[in-house]
Amino acid sequence: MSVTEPVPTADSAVFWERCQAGELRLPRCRECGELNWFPRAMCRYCSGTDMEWVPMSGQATVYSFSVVDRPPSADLPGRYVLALVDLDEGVRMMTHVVDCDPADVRIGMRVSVRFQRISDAISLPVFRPAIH
Amino acid sequence: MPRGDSGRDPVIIGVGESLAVGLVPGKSSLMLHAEAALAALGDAGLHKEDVDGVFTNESYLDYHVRHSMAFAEYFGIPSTVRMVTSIPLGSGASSGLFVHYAANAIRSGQCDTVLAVSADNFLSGLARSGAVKALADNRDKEFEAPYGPALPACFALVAQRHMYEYGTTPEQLASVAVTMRRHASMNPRAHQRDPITVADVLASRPIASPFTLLMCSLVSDGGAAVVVTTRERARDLDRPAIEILGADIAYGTGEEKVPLHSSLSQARDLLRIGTRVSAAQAMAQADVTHADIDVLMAYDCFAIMPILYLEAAGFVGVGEGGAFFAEGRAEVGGDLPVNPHGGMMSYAHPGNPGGLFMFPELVRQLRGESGPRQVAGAEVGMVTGYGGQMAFWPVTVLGRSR
Repeated sequence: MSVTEPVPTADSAVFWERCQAGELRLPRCRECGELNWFPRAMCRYCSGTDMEWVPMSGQATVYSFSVVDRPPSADLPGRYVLALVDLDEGVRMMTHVVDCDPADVRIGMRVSVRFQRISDAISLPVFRPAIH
Repeated sequence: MPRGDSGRDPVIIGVGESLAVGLVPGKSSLMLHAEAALAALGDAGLHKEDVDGVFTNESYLDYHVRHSMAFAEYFGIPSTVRMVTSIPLGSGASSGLFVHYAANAIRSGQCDTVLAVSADNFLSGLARSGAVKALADNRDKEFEAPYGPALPACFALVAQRHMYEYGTTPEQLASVAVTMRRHASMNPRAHQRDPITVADVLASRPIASPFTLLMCSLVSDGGAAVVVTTRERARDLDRPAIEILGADIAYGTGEEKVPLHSSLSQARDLLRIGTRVSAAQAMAQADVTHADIDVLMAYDCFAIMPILYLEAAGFVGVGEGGAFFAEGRAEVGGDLPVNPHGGMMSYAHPGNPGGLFMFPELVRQLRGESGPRQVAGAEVGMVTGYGGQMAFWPVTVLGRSR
């Protein structure tokens, strides 16, 4: 599905390993307690380097979205919902909202993570409407 | 940027563009640069031998590790030049940075005459689909690009949020496109000149909700150039000098304790743009109020953006920008005409140079040379730029010599 398959770096290898295992984990700085997204080995807030990979709830709220009818690449589905979602833990991710009619997506909608396997190495986190 | 009456105060003495903009086949990116540069120097009454500073942007089509040197070589800039540099960093915002940095280079004494030029054959060289792909690949490789963040979709995220928070409507977004096209219809050089209605815009092909095709800017060929020199030197030239009264840039939201972002998804708030800060600074330097500003040049890559600048710069209240366009107040003859040349939505958008066309148009407006689209009595104008991923917000205030 992807234009570009992510290539893990020293900063992000653990993130992608955990995604492949079906788990959303982000690095949190043990010194100041802040979550870091995108993943990085040095804390963006306090420059600490003692990071722990903590599990996220996988629950999020749609901050904004767009139904894309003209994909930039033939590798992408003909129509998809590009979105920014705010994880309950407080960080914002770019993603797709999936498993629903694009016309039903709204700002403020509750969504939960699932993983879309795109290769032997990479599963992308995407979000579907939360089950009430 | 302090301002006084020093002979070293920077002024714009010449502006120019490639011979044509729009679909211009058969010309290289560097040739379009050279045409624009020659036109701007001719407008100033100067020659390339007079230039001692050269700024270029980058070309999507014709990449050079040292782009400004490649242009200087192509155009025949003499070796006595004292500054040759590329400012690709700001992407769309580079045009604002050009004028900002040129002003500083002149004020500091490093240069006396700076030529800033940007051009590209974005349409004939890349084709529309190639341009769309090149711009989508220009996102964070790991955490954004895999999701296909087409450029219109990125700005659509901004528009959708503005609609959610303030009730901005698709009709209001469409009215931005209608305003630009109405202006372009008065500009014989514009890439797209056929008048359109709000209904036409809404009925055009869906691209990325809420945007339809006509709410997006063009893909064009062309280039623009600006010559900046000292006030003292300008006195010897037979052209009206246009003063750089204020120039500032804010990054991100421009606020303390908000970490800078480079990628769109890292922005704290898509609607809280740094123009709030840079416009206030540039207006303070220029010692002007909102009522003094006669023309606004706004980087209109997508229909939401001019709405955001109007609000952030304080011309209207937050959430009121859409109505300002829908009521026709941004048209030539209205309260504050926006992009009388037709903007990037109807005049031309050849990629990185798109924002630079704002300067030739504003300079001509301030000289009173704009024919049927002339804003009557224009004395002071503002350029609000944009670049990166909602990350660079340059604002420049230009004025007729007082």
